[in-house]
Amino acid sequence: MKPITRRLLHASHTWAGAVFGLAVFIVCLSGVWAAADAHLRHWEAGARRLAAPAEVDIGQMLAAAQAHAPLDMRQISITLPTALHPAVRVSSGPAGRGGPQRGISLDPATGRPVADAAGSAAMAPIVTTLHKSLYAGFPGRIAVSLVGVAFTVLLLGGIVLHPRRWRDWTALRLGKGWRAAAFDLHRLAGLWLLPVLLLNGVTGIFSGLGALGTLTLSPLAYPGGMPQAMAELTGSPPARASGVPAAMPPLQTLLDAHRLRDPGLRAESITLANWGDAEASLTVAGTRPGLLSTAVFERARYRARDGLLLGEDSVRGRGGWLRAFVAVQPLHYARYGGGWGLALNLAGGIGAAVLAATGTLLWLGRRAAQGGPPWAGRLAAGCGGGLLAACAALLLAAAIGLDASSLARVFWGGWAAVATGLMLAPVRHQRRAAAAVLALAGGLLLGAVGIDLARSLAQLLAVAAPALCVDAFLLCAGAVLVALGLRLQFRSKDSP
Amino acid sequence: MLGGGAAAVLVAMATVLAWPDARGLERLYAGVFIGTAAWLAAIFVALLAASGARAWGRVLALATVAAAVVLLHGGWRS
Repeated sequence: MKPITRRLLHASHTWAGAVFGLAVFIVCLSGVWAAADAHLRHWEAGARRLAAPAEVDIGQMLAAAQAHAPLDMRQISITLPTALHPAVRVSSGPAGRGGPQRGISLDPATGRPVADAAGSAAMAPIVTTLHKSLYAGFPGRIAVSLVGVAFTVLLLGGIVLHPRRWRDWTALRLGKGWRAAAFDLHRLAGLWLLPVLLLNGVTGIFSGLGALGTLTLSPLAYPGGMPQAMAELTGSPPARASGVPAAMPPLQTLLDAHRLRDPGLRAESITLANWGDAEASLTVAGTRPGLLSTAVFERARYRARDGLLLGEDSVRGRGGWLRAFVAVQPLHYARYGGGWGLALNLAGGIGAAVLAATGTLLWLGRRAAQGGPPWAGRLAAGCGGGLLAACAALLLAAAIGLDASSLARVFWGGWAAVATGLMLAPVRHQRRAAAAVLALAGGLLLGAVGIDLARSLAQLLAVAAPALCVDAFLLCAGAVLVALGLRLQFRSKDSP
Repeated sequence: MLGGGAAAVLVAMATVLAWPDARGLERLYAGVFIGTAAWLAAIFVALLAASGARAWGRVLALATVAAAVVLLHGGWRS
């Protein structure tokens, strides 16, 4: 590559990174949280975690829910238990605009009502919503997608700029000053994690822009516009009630018959429509191994009175573009490859946050050396460091058992306080303040781990196992942050 | 960026209207993906125009040829 070309590409990569670096960091760090949302909900449940059952009689669960409170037979939704969400959730009443749904959570082992700790989690959605929409609804979702565009462009620009030397794949200079360490970390994260970073970036782009495209382009493909497109996408609604009562077979028998007919469809939820009517139907929704789809698109609908298959929906056999659209969410949130897929996705998310942080740090260092004003550095350190500390404080607050409103105050208040402190810190103390925030965040994470480990030890391993995975992750993250904070604290002359 | 975005919207609309597949969802998402890809391509072309990087040109040309071959062969659909 010609030197002038390299200079131009480097300049565009640098300035794009400077403009979007902080936004990329916030989206990627919160993205790590969002990918682990189900695990964090389970972790948050603490002492209220349930054991995942081997087998559940859904008919008994429905009867138990009915005995506790009368159900609206027009529509009943039953969410089946999983290892991360071991309660059976029975909801009834028309969904959406038809009115509020009433629901009850049951212990699958006993059929007794339980507080659905994982389903009604308060901590996990705080950061997950930040990642998905920046708390700005649909426009926020589009904004996050645009950050994905910037991230993808930066990734590709960075790879093109890389000089392709074999020694660059392993070189990490930790003892030669912060600039060398940050540069090497930036390069290593980009090189080693490029495939998963690109996967996350591109699927992130289509998460929001795909929805925007569906909204704006559907009138060109369908005379009925968006409602018609959504009806075809999510399948037709169940038939109307005939008004003729009919005897219903046991629900578990219908589910067993479905499992026998289509063992590939792993049921996640069951929807009953007009139960007790001659036209009553049962819809089984779930996922299929090896198929990148969700329960919204993989369904089988049966007539309840005799178990006759009325219809099936699946992306199998559909066109490539539709399959690509449906695959975006499972790919972005690592609903593939089990625990290894999630681990890879988390590594990609952390790598992306490290890329954004080190890239911004390098730009700030160069800017400071050129005598630039310090506001950009204060803003980046305040917002980025504040988010890190706020996430750690939120985890500790949840481990302690604070209520939902207190958790929100801890997160937003903590973020604002740390950001303000870092932004207002005198220039000569700013490095030490940033190091202290890193150490503080690490300490808070270690505190959260300690509290959770203490209560997990009182639980069966099968119950606590997913939470212990979270603890191991947080333990590593906390130790790294404390070590980094202490290193920068005591070697502040060598810190950015 | 904005010019590329406007052009990408036109590409997406043209794709939905002209896509040779009667199925609505297939046409719709062909437009969504090709339009977004056109926007990303426009950003890269703008970078290329600014830098004149031959490597980028080769990569884009190769990717375009590969995509065309895959689409023509019908291997994209399974």
